[in-house]
Amino acid sequence: MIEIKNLSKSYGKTKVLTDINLTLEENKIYGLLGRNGVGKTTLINLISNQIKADTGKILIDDEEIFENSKAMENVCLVKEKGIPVDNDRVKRIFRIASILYKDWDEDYKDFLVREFKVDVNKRYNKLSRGNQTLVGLIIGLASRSKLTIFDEPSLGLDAAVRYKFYNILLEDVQSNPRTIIISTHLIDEVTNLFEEVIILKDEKVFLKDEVTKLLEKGYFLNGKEDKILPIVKNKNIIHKEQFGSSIIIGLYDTLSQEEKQLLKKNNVEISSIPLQKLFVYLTENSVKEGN
Amino acid sequence: MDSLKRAIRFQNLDAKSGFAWFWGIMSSIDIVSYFLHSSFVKMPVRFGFGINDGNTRMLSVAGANLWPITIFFIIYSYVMYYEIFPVAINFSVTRKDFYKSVIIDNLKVTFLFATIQSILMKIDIYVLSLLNKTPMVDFKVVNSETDNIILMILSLFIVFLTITSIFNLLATLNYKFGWKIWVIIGLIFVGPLWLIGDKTNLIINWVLTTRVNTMQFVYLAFLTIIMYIILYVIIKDISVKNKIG
Repeated sequence: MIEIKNLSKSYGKTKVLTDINLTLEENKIYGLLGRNGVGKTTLINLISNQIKADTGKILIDDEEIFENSKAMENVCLVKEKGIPVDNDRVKRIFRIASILYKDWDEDYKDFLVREFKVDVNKRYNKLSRGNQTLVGLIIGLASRSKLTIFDEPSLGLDAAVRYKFYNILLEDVQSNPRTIIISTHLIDEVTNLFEEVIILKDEKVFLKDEVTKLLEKGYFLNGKEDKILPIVKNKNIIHKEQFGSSIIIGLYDTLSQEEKQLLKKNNVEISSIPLQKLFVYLTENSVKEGN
Repeated sequence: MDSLKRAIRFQNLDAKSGFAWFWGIMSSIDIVSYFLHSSFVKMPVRFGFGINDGNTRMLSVAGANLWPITIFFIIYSYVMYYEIFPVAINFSVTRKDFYKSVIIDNLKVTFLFATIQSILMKIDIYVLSLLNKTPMVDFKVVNSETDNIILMILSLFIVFLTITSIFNLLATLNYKFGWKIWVIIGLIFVGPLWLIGDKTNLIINWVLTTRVNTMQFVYLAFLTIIMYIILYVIIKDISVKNKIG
């Protein structure tokens, strides 16, 4: 289990994260979401010891993580910005990873290299952005670390390769359970992958919930304004689009069976809000709390 | 302990090839130099390949390795922090384990270099005598004629280690603070001493030109320990800078 307690980080006078408190359970896939510059990469860098927090602490199985070899040997970070090597060949990078990750699976690495068709004899800086991303993904998967963090794992990858990665990740996590954190902007693609979502906003954890619960609370209501608003006036409205007398309302709240039936009776179309749109609306607006 | 072992194995990954390359080149240059000195008997020493003792006709081929070795240790120290450190931290090595692995690597590399260089400097005397040259034997820090091989190895080892520890610290400061550190060093240390005109006070100069006796060995060991302690203070919470290949 990972516990983050009162974590804060600033760069100079710019506060990035303030008083972050989080608990991540073992063997779950978490989605770390937030707008650009909200501090996702900073949080990831703090969890993986790349940088030091100003205050607060991060614990893995009750062991403080910073400068703790025992805790850190269970952590693998796959950075968005790639691996900090100059012109090493890919096979040397895998060799480094095989030395430094205690649970490294060489056979699985070989399988992934074949599967993703990565040329291990090429120099890393001569690879395309997509292939550089693939080298990181292979390391993340083959490290078999108890906590594996992928920061923007889809950069430069075409849709086919992205879906192949998602499938391989799911298969692997089923046979080798571990905690995965994925930070991505392609939310809809990975909705089915996430078990829980953490949304950062305004330097803090804005929301942490299971994806199914989150989606259960997100509704689009499409119909006449005068038929919808009286029913949802006290609800948490996160989005509104007007088309003449028709309106589309984005709702992040619970709807009782009676309310749903009443809305349907009033010819209001009810549909789920996809996670990506829900994320956009939630992080865009100040949420009006319903009663 | 396992994580430290892994960090040391990582440090060793390229050590053999780097070591072989350096000594392959240096020994080739030495052999060519001996060959040229044997082929061109009348070649003035001052134009010779190797180093000579000012206006005298004394010459050393292996002794000329000392400068490339010093430059090697400067580059080695900078590579350690600009290349190896970010990779190690990226792959979840702690700063503490990295620091320990650096010290172990420094001890190993400097000792091996000192051993090889001492042997070459001893051989140098015999080869140059065979070529009817007067071998240069006084290299300030050691005397290849009067010092026995063990003493030479220990002397060169402590000198190389001290240089490496100083440049390790400089490289770390440079990595952490960027170019600003050169301004600070220039203003506080180098500038005033240079203006006074007493270059012997410069630490590097002192390390490279003072004969290693028992007291000097203790001084250098003490200076090395101080350098490594300061290094730890700096490295223990240093952040990784983004550098992408």
